[in-house]
Amino acid sequence: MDIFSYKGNVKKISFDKLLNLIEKKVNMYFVEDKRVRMKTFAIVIELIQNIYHHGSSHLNEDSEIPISFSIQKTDDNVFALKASNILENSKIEWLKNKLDQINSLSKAGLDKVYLERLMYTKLNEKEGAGLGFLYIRRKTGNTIQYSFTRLNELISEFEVVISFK
Amino acid sequence: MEKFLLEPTEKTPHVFFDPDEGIFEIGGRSIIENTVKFYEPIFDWIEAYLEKPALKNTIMAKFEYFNTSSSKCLIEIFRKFEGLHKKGIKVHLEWYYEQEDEDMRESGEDFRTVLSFPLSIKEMKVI
Repeated sequence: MDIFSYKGNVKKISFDKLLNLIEKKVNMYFVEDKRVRMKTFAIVIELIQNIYHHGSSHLNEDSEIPISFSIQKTDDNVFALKASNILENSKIEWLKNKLDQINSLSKAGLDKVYLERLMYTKLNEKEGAGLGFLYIRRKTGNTIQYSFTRLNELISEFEVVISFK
Repeated sequence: MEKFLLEPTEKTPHVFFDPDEGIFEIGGRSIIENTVKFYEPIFDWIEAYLEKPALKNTIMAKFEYFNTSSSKCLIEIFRKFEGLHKKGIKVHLEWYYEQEDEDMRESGEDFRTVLSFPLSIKEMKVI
């Protein structure tokens, strides 16, 4: 069941509108379940800002960015957040290594790496804090599913799926 | 020194710093993409404050949401106050979370793990 679904082009300056729209849907759907509502929107914020920082780094404010974003609920009450965006092929290896490393960590390892990065890494204004996927993995307890679909010699579609109960 | 006040927006927090009372309130939402640009004036104000701080300092953080890049800026703020604590000046952080918001409570525990000054975690009913 789709709680929210969007596929289309979004200008970098319109990300706020998209975030507002998703928040309204999340608030309406999870009106009775504050815990899941707040967790869901906190993850949405990180996913949307990942796209802002990494899916459009080569574009200016007026460029339209093709993205898709959905929130689904399965029959066994698992929620799945799917986000996809365009990524330069040159970044695939870096991102794949980063996600594999995050997925390989134990709970204690995640806590340790997260707190070390929180304390010691320098905030990069163009790329965020580098904590987003670590945060998501910690908060959901699940590995981050991802895939890359090559579109041409320059770019690919990157899709990430976050599941939680 | 003048008080520091920022009204909240949909994406930026409410900030109220009272240097005479040693009260530092921040809360609401901090979900902006370009956090450094927003937080720099706050860092600058605190740096100036640290030259002549109050004897007792209470930071009150009452967030609904903050993104991970804001968490880096919050740690930067807290570390500035940690410097005071190391000099023997009283610093206390009150970390508030809304009822049922376990993730926000855990964020407070994260900060407590990495900071050396006293931090209390308190539940509040509504922001």
